[in-house]
Amino acid sequence: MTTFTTIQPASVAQRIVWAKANLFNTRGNAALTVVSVGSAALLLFLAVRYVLFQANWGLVAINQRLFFIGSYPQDETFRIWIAVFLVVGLIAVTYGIWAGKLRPYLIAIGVVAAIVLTLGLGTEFRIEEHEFTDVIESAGQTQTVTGIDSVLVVDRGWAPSWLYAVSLGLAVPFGSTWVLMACVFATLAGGAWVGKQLSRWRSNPIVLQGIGALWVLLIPAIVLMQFGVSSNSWESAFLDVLVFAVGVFFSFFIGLALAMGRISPYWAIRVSSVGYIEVVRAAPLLVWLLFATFLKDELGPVGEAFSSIDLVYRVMFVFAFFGGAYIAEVIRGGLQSVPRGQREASQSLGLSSIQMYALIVLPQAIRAVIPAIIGRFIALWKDTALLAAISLVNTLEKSKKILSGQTDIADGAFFEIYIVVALIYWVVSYLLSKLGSAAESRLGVGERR
Amino acid sequence: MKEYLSDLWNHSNSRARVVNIVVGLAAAIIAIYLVYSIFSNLFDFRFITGPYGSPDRSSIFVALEVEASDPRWLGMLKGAGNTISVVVFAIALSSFLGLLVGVARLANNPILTRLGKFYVETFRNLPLLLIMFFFAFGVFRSLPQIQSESGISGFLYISNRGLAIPWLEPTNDLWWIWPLALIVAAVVAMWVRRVREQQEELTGRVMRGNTWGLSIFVGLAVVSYLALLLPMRITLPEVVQSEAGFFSYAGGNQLGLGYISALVSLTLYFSAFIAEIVRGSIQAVPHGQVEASASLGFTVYQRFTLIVLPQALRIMIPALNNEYQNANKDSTLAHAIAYGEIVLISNRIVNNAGNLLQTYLFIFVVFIITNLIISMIMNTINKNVQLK
Repeated sequence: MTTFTTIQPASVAQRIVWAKANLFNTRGNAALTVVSVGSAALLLFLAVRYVLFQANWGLVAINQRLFFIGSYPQDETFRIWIAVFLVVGLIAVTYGIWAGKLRPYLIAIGVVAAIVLTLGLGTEFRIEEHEFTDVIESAGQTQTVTGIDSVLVVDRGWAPSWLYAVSLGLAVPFGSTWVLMACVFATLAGGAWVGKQLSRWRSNPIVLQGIGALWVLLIPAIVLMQFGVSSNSWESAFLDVLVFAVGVFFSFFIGLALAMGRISPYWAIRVSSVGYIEVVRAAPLLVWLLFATFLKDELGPVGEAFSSIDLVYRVMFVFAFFGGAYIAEVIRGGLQSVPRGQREASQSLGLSSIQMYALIVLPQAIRAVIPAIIGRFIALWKDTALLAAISLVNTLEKSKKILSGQTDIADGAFFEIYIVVALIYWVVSYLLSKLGSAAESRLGVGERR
Repeated sequence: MKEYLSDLWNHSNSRARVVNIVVGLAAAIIAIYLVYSIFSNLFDFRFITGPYGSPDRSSIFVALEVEASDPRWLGMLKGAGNTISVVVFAIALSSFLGLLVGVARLANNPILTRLGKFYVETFRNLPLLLIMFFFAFGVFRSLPQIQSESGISGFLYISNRGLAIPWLEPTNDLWWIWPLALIVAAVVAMWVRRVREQQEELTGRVMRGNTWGLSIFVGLAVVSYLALLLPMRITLPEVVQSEAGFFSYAGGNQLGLGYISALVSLTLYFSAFIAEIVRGSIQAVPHGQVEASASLGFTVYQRFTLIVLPQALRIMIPALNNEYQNANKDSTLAHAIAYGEIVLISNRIVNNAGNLLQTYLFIFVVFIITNLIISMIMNTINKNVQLK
């Protein structure tokens, strides 16, 4: 349907021709152009005016630590830093191996590093106190109220406060955190370089399997590393990421097992897999989460044992088993897409059924549904927001706490807080969806025309 | 003995029997254990007759507001009704908005398509609960106070207590017959329309099915309205001040913050997904169809409504079915913003009476039934739009 050219022409005259052909070719289209340019300009104007002049970013700036790790014990943060370095290093190496060019990536890293590492220098927070007088009218009487209103002000070195806040708190004042951030960027760049050197052997199965194994081992490693810290202090974005990581890891394997169960030659396994998948998918995730929260002794000794586990682990359990039921359906679609001849050929070659599935069928099936699986993972990531509904302090719940606890410092700053929380969720799911579409084009799935 | 066991395992027939018996027994034991746990508190369904306890007045329909004196079973049914009343409107609104955005993404205007993409990418990548919190705890809380009377005076008011809109009010005891009469009128009108259209197809005479159907519907509606002695009238909202000086709405219908936030967030969130479905299915219609209809002299509007959309519907409906069921299930998130839907009501009951399994079994049954209804409706539509 779309017939316009997306390539921008070079000269001004060509631009006018292009605009005439695409924007003002009919009267209706011209009207559409005017309306949409107008509304886009209005939106942009409102957004810019809000970000630059109206918003009070102080509340965001001072709570950046709370947004990311909440009340994680100060002297245990090395655990989180190790996890960050592992993840960042692995991402960089993987990117270096499979990406084509390194230069744009390195330039982007450099720019972001320059911004993040210089932005926070010289920043300070202080609270300014203003006297205020309010006239309150209620029940026909007027009352005059005076008091002191405290307003949080970000005293910045050179960067405007909004830039500091919108950088999601990655901008840090000089100190140990600053050094660690610098190391993160160094890892991002160095890892990609190492990956580039390895890319010579990227068709070598040892490299492939090694990287795959590292990715698989990464999540248990991160989780095991948290065992020194009470699960009560897992909070905010860190909690979201942790629940997401565990959910992704286990739901994939549970889904794989269920999908294989659905096509098992034994009817008892088939029936119980189908029954499990349908029952789990029938109720919303929130209902399962609430059920896991409220369950005490209703299910006899099993329920009691389950309810004695920490709430966070119960939630992870629900995420794994709920996500697994959905992943199973996705993988089933992939299994159905593998041509029958593949199975027949491997059987005629004398492969056992385990060999047939592990070596022939499953690699093709999973390859076909990688974009769909990533889609399920995006849904799982967004579902971590639901922890706010069951009294676990994730990013969303933390934002509510920040808002309710600090209204005297900056009242009505809910917009700023929610924008930052939304950015945290949005950035991750957007990056994941980009990964999905990259996988789709790389694997050549779903091509049309 | 060992030989016997290996024989049992190595013959495919006996192996199948062993696996089936072991797995089947295990699954049956788990299932029986669950059912037993539910029904061993059981035959303790007595709690559902106890009083619900606290009022929940957040419904769009006055009849669905839960009173403190209601028995718990009635409270749960009303909660289910509240879920349905937000889901139905959310599905309708998000389908409409999604259709607009999806078509906008395919328009011949590069700026409009980018606006559409911006909309979709924004709402598709945000958690629904965040959008709900944003509206419930942010936007609607910061609306003006009730005494400022903002809105269209005498017709519609909006404040931080909610939205007041014109509504229908029963004037006599037999008002409930009228909605039933409307349904009967609609069925009769559709039947007449179909019969006349069939005749038109058979004989070739112009039978004006649409006109006949519409006029029969309107006629029956008016006649029954008069016959029931004007059972309903429109009431308009107004802001009144009590003697003690407190402001409140009177007349019309008040939509609570929970209801509006849930409706707006569900609509925004799911319209982004529906827009993607609409876009995908329109793109899947072969381009030759558009070219052929253009060469036959159809206008752009006719091309879209008569050629492209009907074919796109065929592709779109299974995906829409899925998305509508998701919307139904995700409406439970509204309990976190204190909208009195089924999960909120059930949680109150669990807190008061402690019958977790029975109450959650009810939620479960409600969702199975509502999802089945959605998929039945969508399958019926699907059957009607498929090629015959």
